[in-house]
Amino acid sequence: MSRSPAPTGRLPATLARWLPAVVLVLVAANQFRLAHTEDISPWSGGGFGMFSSTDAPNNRHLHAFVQNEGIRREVVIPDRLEVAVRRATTLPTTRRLGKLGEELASLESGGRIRWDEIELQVWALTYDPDTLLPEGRLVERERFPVAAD
Amino acid sequence: MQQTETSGRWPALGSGTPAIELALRLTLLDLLLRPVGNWLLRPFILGIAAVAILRPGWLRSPTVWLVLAGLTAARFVLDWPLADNHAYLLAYWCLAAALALWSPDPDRVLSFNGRILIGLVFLFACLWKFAGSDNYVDGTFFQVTFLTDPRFEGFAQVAGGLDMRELGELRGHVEQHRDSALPIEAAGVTIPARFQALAAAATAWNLFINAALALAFLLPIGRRLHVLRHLLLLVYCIVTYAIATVDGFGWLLLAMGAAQSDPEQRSMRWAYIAVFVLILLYREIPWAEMVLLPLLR
Repeated sequence: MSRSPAPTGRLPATLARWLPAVVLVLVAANQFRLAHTEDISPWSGGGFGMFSSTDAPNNRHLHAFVQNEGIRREVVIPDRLEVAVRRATTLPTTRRLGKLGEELASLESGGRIRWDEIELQVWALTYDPDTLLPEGRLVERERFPVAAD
Repeated sequence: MQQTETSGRWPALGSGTPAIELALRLTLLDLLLRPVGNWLLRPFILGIAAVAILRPGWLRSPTVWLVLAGLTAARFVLDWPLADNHAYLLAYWCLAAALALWSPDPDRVLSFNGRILIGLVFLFACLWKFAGSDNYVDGTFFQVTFLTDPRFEGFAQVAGGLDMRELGELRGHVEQHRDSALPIEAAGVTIPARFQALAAAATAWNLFINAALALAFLLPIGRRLHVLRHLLLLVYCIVTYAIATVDGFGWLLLAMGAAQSDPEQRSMRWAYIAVFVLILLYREIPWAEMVLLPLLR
C-alpha cells in the first residue's frame, strides 16, 4: 500500500511521542490531589478510578437545610437542579456548594420565615465488609449565610 | 493524498499495511458506535468520524484528528467533573493520532503512544484499586456492584447463583438509606457463599490482570514478548466486557492495542477485529437473560 505524503511542518519528535502521556499523567495526578483535598469521587476527574470503589457519583447524595435561631427545615431539592447537585456531590468544593446553596436558598425566600443560613451536607455510602450493611459517611458539610430578600 | 490500494481485498488488514490504518479505523468505529458528547458536540464528532472512515484523505489527516481531539476534550471540560474515564482517554488518543500523523514516522509514534497510554491507564487503575480504595481488595466493591448496578444483574444471576427474589432482597439491603443520626435497626440477610466467592474471584482476577497489563505495557520487554502484551489485552477485553458492558472503553483499548501490531502480524490484527466484533455482540445480545439463564433453568 502506498503511504500518504509526509505533511509539512513536522513536530519535534519528543513532543509527538510524549505529549498525550504527559497530559494523562497531569490530569490523573490532579484527580489524586482532588481526591485527597476536595473529596472528588474516585470515579470522576480522569484518574482512572472507575470500578475501584463503591464511592461512585450515583452513590452520593445531598441534604440541604435552611435554619434560623429557632427553626431548621430540610429543603426539597427540585428535579431541575439534578445536574448541579450531581456536580456538587461528585466534587464538593466550597465554591460549588455555595453556588448551589444560593440557588436552593432563593427557593425558600419570600415566605413568612426569614432564614439566616443554609447548610448543605454531602453524603457517601460505605458498606460493612461482612454484612454489606450500608452506613452514611459525611463527605462535606458547609454553611452559608442566606442573603436578605 | 493517495488512495489505499484495494485489489479486491480489505486493504487495511493485510500483511505489510501500517497498523495505524487499522487503529484509526477502529477508533472511528468506536466514535460511531458509542457516540459521545452533548447535542452540540455529537453531530460534529459523528459527521467527521463518518467521513473519515470513508475517505482515506481524512483518515490520515492530522487536522481531522486534532479537531476530533478538541471536540472530545470539550466534552469532558464542559461536563467537568462528571465525564467518565472513556472521555479523557478518547481525547488523549485522538491527540496522539494527530501528533503521530504530523510526525515523520506516524506508525512508530502512534504505536508508542498506544503502549504508553494503555500502560498508564492500568497503572492508575492499579493505584486506585490497591491503595486508593477502602473497599476493593476485601471484595466489598464487587459484592455491592453486582447487586446494585443493573449492567451486572444477569451475571449475578448466572454466575452468582442468585434468583430474582434473592437478588431483590440483597439489593434492598444494600440500598437502605442510612445516613440518619439515629441508629436504625438493620434487617439481617444472609449473603450466599457462592455469591461471595464470585466477588472474591472477580476481585483477584481484576487485581491480577490490571497489574499485569500495567507492567507488560510500561516495562521495556524484548521483541519476542510483544505478543504477550497483545494476548493480555485481548484476554482482558474478552473477559471484562462480557461482564461489564462498557463497550466504548473496550473498543478504544483495542484500537490502541492494534496500533502496536507489527506489519507481519496478520493474525493479530484479525484477533483485534474479532474481539471488537465480539464486544459489539456482547452489547447487542442479552446473553445472560435470553441465552444462559433459560439454559440453566
